[in-house]
Amino acid sequence: MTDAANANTPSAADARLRKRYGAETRFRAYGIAAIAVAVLALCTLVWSIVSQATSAFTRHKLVTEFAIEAEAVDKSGARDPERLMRNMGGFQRVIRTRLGEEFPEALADREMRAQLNAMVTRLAARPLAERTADNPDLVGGTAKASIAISDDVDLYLKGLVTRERVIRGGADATPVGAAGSVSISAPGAFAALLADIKGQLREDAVRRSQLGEEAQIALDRTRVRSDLSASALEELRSADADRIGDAAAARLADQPEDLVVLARIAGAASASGEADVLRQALDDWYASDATERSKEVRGLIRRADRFARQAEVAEAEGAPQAETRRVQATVTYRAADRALAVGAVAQSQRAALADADLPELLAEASRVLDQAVGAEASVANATPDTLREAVAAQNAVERIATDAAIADAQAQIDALEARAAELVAQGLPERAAALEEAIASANSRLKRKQRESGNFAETAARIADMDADALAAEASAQLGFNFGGAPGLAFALGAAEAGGELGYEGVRALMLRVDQSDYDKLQRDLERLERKVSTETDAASALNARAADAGAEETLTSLQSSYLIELNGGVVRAQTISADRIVGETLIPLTSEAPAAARDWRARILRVPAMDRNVSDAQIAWANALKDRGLVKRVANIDLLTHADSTYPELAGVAAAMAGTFWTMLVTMLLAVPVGVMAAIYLEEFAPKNWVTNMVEVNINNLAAVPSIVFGLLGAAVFLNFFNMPRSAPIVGGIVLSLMTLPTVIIASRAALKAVPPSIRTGALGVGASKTQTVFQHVLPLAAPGILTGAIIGMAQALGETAPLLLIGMVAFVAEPPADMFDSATVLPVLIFKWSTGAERAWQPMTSAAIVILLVFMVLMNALAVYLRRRFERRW
Amino acid sequence: MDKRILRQSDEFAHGATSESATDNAVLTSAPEKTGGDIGGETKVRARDVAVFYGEKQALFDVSLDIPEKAVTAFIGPSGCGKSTFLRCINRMNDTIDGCRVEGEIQLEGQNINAKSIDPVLLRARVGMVFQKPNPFPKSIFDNVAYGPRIHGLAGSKDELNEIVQVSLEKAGLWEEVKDRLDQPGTGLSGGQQQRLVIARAIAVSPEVILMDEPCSALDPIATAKIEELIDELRTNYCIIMVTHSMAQAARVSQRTAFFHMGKLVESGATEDMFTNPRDSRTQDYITGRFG
Repeated sequence: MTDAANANTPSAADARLRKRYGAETRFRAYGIAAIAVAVLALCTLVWSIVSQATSAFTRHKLVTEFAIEAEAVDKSGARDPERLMRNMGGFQRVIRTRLGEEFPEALADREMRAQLNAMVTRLAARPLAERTADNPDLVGGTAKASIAISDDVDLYLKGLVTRERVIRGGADATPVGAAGSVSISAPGAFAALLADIKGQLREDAVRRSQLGEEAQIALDRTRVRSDLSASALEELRSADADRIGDAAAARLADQPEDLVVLARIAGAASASGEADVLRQALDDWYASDATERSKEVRGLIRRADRFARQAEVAEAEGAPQAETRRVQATVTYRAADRALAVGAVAQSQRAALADADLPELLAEASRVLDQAVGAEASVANATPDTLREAVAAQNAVERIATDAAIADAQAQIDALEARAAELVAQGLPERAAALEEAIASANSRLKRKQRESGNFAETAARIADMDADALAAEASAQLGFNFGGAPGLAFALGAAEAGGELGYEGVRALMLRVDQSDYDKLQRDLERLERKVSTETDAASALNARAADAGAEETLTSLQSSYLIELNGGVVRAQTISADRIVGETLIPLTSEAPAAARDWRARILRVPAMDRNVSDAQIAWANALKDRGLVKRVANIDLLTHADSTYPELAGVAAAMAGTFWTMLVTMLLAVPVGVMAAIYLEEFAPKNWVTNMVEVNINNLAAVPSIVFGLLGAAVFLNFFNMPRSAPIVGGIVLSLMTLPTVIIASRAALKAVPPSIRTGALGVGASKTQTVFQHVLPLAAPGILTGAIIGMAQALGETAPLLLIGMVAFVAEPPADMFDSATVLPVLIFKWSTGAERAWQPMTSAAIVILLVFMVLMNALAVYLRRRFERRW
Repeated sequence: MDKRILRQSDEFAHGATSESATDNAVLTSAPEKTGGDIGGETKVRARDVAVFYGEKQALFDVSLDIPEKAVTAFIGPSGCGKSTFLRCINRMNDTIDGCRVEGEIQLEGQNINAKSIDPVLLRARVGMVFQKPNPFPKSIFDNVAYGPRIHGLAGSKDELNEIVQVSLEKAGLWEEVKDRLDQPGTGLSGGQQQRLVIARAIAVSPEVILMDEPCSALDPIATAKIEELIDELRTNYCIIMVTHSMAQAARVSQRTAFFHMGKLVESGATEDMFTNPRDSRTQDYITGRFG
C-alpha cells in the first residue's frame, strides 16, 4: 500500500530514474571494458608476432664479385648448364675462395678454416650456380651474386645472439706484435673492461654458492637415508630366525608368486631330501605352462591366418599393403611354430619328471627359474674356512643347471627340426623355411651354454688351488651373477623352513648383502655430495676473492664473456686483461704495430660466452669486418617469398607452401561454394518443411561444430585408403577442407537467403514469375553479398587449418612448388607448424614471418569479403 | 487506352497541375458511379470457397460473383478473411505451407484450382498489388519490363520499350520517371513506388488486378493519386481491392463485399451497401460500431 503510494512521488520517480541511468552507465562500462580487453589481446598478439617476424624480413647477404674458376666448377670444360647446376660443391669452393681472399690468415689453421667455411652453407651457392648456368660464358670470368650467409652469423648481425657493448678507446693503445699473440698497452684504458669482468665474476660466485647450497640440501637428505639404512642393517644382523623369515617373506611379496613358490618348494626339498613335493610342483608348473602355451599357439595361428588372407586379397587388388601383410603372416607363423616346438620339449621334460631323482629335479627347477639356485646362501654365509667348500658347492649347482639348459636347448633344436619336417610334409615349405632362424637362435643359445659349461668346469678344477683372495673374488662373482634374484632368496627361505643345515643364517646373509650394497651406494653418494659442496663453496669464495681484488689481472676462458679489441684493421681476442695491458691472440691480424689513437680503436664485449653460442668469436670478428668492408649487406629477404622449404633456415621460403595453399584453396572453393550455395537454396526455398529437412538442418549445424581433425581422419580413411587417392596432394586436402567448410557456407547462405524480405518473393510471384525465376532472379542476387561473405569467411577458416591436413600427409617436406593439384604439396599453416618445431634458433623469426604472411592473406580475404559486400549492396 | 493518353497530353498541354488532374478524375468518375453501373459480365465466380491454415479454418463457404470492368471492394475488420479470399484468386495461398483451399473459383468460367491450370500462368492473368510497395531492387525500367520479359510478351526491344512506357503511362507515373528509367525503383517515394508496382502488374496485361490494401502505407496525397488511378484502370480491368477505409471503398468501388469472421456477410452495389445495408452487422461496421 505504502509502496504503491510512494511509487509516484517525485522523489521515488527520481530514485527510479537514477537507478535506470546507473544501470545504463554500468552496462556501457562493461561493454567498453570487454572491447578494451579484446583489443588489447589482439594488439599483444599482433605485436608479438610482428616484432618477432621483422628480423626475418631482412637477411644479411654476401654481395660481391666472385671469380668463377673453371678449375673449381667445370673441370670438363663442357660448359653444360645442367652439370654446372649439379656442381654446387664447386660453387661453394668459389665462395670459400673469395672469403679466403678476405681473411688469408684463417686458411693456415685447420680449425679457423673450418669456421670460415661454415659462414656460408653449401646450398647457399645456388644463386651463383644459377647465374653461371644461365650464362656459361661466365666460367673463367667473374660474376656478381648475393649469397645468404649462415643463419647463426645472420642472427648475430641482427643482434639476436648476444648482448653486445662497444667501448671506445680511452687512451692511445700500443700493440706489440701484429699476428698470433699480441699484447696491447694503453694506460688505464682497460679498467672498464676489467670492471666488467669482475662484475661477471661476482655473478658467477652467486651462482656457484647457490649450487653449493642445493648440494648441501641433497647431502642432508642422503645422510638421513644413510642413517636409516645403517640401522636397518644393524637390526637385520641381530634379528632372530622368526624375524628373518618374516623379512624375507616380505621382500618376496612383490615378486611373481608362482616362481617364488616353486623356489621355496625346491629349497624345502633340497633340505629335507623329499623329492615328491618338488616333483608335483614342477608337474603343476608344466601343466599350467602347457595350457597357456596352447592358448598362445591357437591365438598366433588365428592371427597368422588372417594376415595371410589379407595378403592374398591385397595382392589380388595390387594394393601396396600386400608385402607388409605377407611379412606379418610369416613372422606370426614362425612364432606359432616355435611355441609349438618349445611346448613339445616342455611336455617331454614333464614326462621325464616321473622317474627323476632329487638332484635332477633341482636342476630342472633351476632351469625353470632361469637361475642356478641351491648354494648361494652358503656362499653368502661362508667363513674363510668354509668358503672353498661353499664356492665349490655353488659351482656344482651351476654346472648341473647349465647342463640342464644345454639339454633343453638341444631338445628344442630337435623339436624345431621335427616341426620343420612336419611342415614340409604338410606342403608348407615356406613356413618350414621361416623356422630356420629359430633353429639358428636355439643353436647359438646351445653354443653359449656350452661355453658357460666349459667355463664352470674350468673354474671347478681351479677351486681346490685357489688362495683366499681368488676364492673371495669367485664367491663375489657367483653372488654377483645371481645377486638380488628372488628365486635364490626363496630357495634359501624354503630350505631354512624345512630345517636345512644352514638354516636362517643363509637367508640373513643373502639379505645382508643386498642391504649392504644399498648402504655402500649411499656412502658413495654422501662422499660425492660432500665433495660437491666443498667444490662449489670453494669456487664461490675464490671467485669472490678475485672479484674483490679490483686491480688484479684476469685470465679469460671460453666460459666467460668475450672481449674483442679492434685496432689497426685487426681484431684481438683478449686472454689476459689488466687495467693497462691486454694480451690476446689475433682473430684478424693487425695491419701494423703503430700506436692507435684513443678514438681509433674500440673494445667489443660479447656477453654470451663463446661456449654457449653457435657462432664463434672469429666468425663474429669476420662478420663485423665483412660488414665494415661493405661486402655483407642487410637486404630485404625476398627468398622468403620466392624459395621453397629448405633444411637451412637462411634458404627457406614459403613459395612451395603458397602454391600448395593456392591449389588446395582452389579445390576447396570449387567444391564447397557451389555445393554449399545450392544446398542452402534448396533447403531454404524449395525443401518441404518436414522431419527429414529438420534432421538435415540439425545435422548440418552439428557438422559445423565437429573438430577439424575428425575431417582429417575421414579424409585419411576414405580418400586415401578406400579411393587410393594420392597422399599429400592438394586435391585430397581440398576435398577434406571443403567438407569442413561446407556447413559454414550452407549456414551463412541460408541466413543470407532468409534475410531477403518476403515481399520480394511475393512481388515476383505476383507478376507471374515461377518459383525458380523468383529465387534465381530476385532472391539470390539480393542474398549474394551475404553468401559471398559466408563463403569467403569459410575459405579463410580453411586457409588457416592445419590438423586435418596433417592426417592426410600434407606435412611432408616439399622442396618444389606443386605443379598441379595431384602433386605432393604442403600448405602455409602446416609449414608454420613445421618451422615452429625447428631446432635452430633462426626458425623462430621465420615462423613468425610465415604467420605474418598467412595473416596478410587472411586479412586480404576478409577485406575482399567486406568490399564485395559493400559493392553489391550499393547496387540498390 | 487511347483516350487516356489523349487526356493526359491535353492536361500537359494546358499546363494542368496534378491536383487539378485529381479533381478531374473524381469529377469524371462520379457520374459513372451514380449511374448504378456495376460493371459488365461476371469475371470471377467463387462458389463455397473455404480456406484452412493447417487445422484452423479461416474462410467459410464464400460464394461471390465479381464483375468485369468494375472495382470490387472487400471490407471488414482485421482477420476477417478478406485478404485470404483475395489471395485465393491468384492462388498465392499455394505458397503458404499448410494452406488448403476448398470450393471452386472460376475465372471466365475456368476453374482456377483445376490441375490443368498452371499457377504461374494464372498469376500473369491475375496481377497483384500489395499493401507495402515492393518494387524489385532493380531499375524502374526493369521493374516494369520484368513481367513481359519472363512471359515473352515483347518480340523486340522496341516493343518492350513501348510496353514499359504504356504501362507507366497507365499507372500515371510516366511523366515523373521518364527521364530516370535507369534509376532504382526503390529510390522512388512511397506513392510512386506503389504506382510503379501497379505499372509492373499492368505490364503483363492481366485481366484481373488484385489490390491488398494498396493505400494503407501511403500518405493522403499519394492515396488520392492511387485512387484516381484505380478509377481510371477499371475501364479496362476487373479490379478487386481490400481496404480498411470505408471512405475509400465508397469513393472508388462499384461493388462491395463485407466479410466478418471468415464469412461473407453481404455483397452488392457499393451505393446500396452504404445506404441500405441488409445485415445489421454490416450496418454496425459501416457506422463504426465495431472493427
